[in-house]
Amino acid sequence: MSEEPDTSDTVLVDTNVFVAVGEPETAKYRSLREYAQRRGLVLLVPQRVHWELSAMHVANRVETAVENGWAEIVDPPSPTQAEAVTAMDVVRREIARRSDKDEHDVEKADTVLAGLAIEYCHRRGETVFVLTDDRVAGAAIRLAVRQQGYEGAVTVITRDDILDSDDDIRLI
Amino acid sequence: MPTLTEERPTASGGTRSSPIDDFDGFLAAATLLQRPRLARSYVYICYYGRTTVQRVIDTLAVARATAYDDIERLETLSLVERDEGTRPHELTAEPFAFVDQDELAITPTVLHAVGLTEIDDDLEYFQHRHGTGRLIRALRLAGEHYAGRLTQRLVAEKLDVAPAEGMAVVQALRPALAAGQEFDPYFDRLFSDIADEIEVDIDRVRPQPDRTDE
Repeated sequence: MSEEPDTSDTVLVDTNVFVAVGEPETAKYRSLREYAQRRGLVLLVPQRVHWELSAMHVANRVETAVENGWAEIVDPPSPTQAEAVTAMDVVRREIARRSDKDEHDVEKADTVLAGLAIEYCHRRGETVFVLTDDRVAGAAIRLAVRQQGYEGAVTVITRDDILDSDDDIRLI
Repeated sequence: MPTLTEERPTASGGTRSSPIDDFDGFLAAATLLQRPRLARSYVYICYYGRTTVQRVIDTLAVARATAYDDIERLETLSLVERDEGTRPHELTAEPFAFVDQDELAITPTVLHAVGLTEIDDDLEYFQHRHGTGRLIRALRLAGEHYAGRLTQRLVAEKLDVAPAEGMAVVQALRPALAAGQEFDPYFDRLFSDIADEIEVDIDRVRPQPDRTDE
C-alpha cells in the first residue's frame, strides 16, 4: 500500500500488532519502532489493547513504546457520530457473515476500531490509520469505511505494510 | 474411541481409506504428538528429504548426539528410512494421516505444529498451558483465520483463551500452514472445505540453509 501515515495523522493500533512484533529486543519490534520514529508518529493504543496485552503479561511492549515516546495509551471516546456507529454495525455484520456467527457473538473489540477511526476523523479533522495484523477484521473495517464514505480519510494498514518481510521466520 | 482410517495415496494420485490394521503406525503417530522434538525431525525429513543426518543437525540446530538418537528412534518407529547404499546415508520419511469422520486428524501439518513448540515461545507456552489437543484445535482455527473466516479474537473465543493468547497462537502457526499447504498431501483432509482459501503470507517454504541437492 502506498498510503502511509505521517506526523499529522492519527494511527490507531490493535492488540495483534504488539503480539506480532514480540518483545522489545526483537528485530520485528525494532522495525515497528523505526517505522513510527521515522515518520514522527505517536501510535494511539486504546486502553483495551493495553488490557489485552496485560492479560498475556506482555504489556511491557506498549509501555516501552510509551516510555520511548512513539506510543500513547488513550482512553478513547465511545463513538457517537452516526457514521461511526453505523460503521461498527457494518463491521459486526461482515465478521458475522464471514464466520457464520450470530452478530451478537462478534467481539466488540473487533468492531470498535472502525467506529473510533471515524470518530477521531470527526473530532480531530485528521486522516486516520488503523494498524492491525488481523486481515479479517481489517477487511471488514475497509468495507465499513468505504460504505460510510470515509475511504481516503480512514485507511487500514497491516503488519505487512510496515514491517520488513518475514525472511527471518523459522519454518521448522 | 473413534474409528481411525489410514489414508494412503494410490498410484492414480487419489487416496483410499482402509480400516487401520497397522496399530503400530497409530502408536508411532501418537508418540510424535507427545514428543515435539521427534515430531519436528520427522516433519523435516518428510517435507525436505531425501536428506542426511548432518543436514538435520544444521537446519534444526540440534546437537549431534540428539539428532542421532532421535533419528534412530524414528527408524525404530518405522517412520524414517535410512538408505545405507549412499554415503552419507540418506533419510526419507513418508507422509501419513489418521483421519476419522469427525474432528480427529493427525497429518504432517499437525505434527509440524507440535514440533514448532520446540522453537517458538508462544506455542510452547500455549501447549504447556492448554495441552496438545487445544493446540491442534488452534491449528484448525488458524486455518479458518487465514482463509478469511474468523478474526483472531473469534479464534481466541472459540479456544476459550485470552484474546492476546489466541492472536499469538494464530500468528505462530503460520509456518505449519504455509509448509503444510505445499508439502502435506493430506492438508485438505485437515481443512476440508477451506484448504484452497488459506493464504499465509510466507513466501519461502524451505528452511535455511536451503538444500543444495535435488
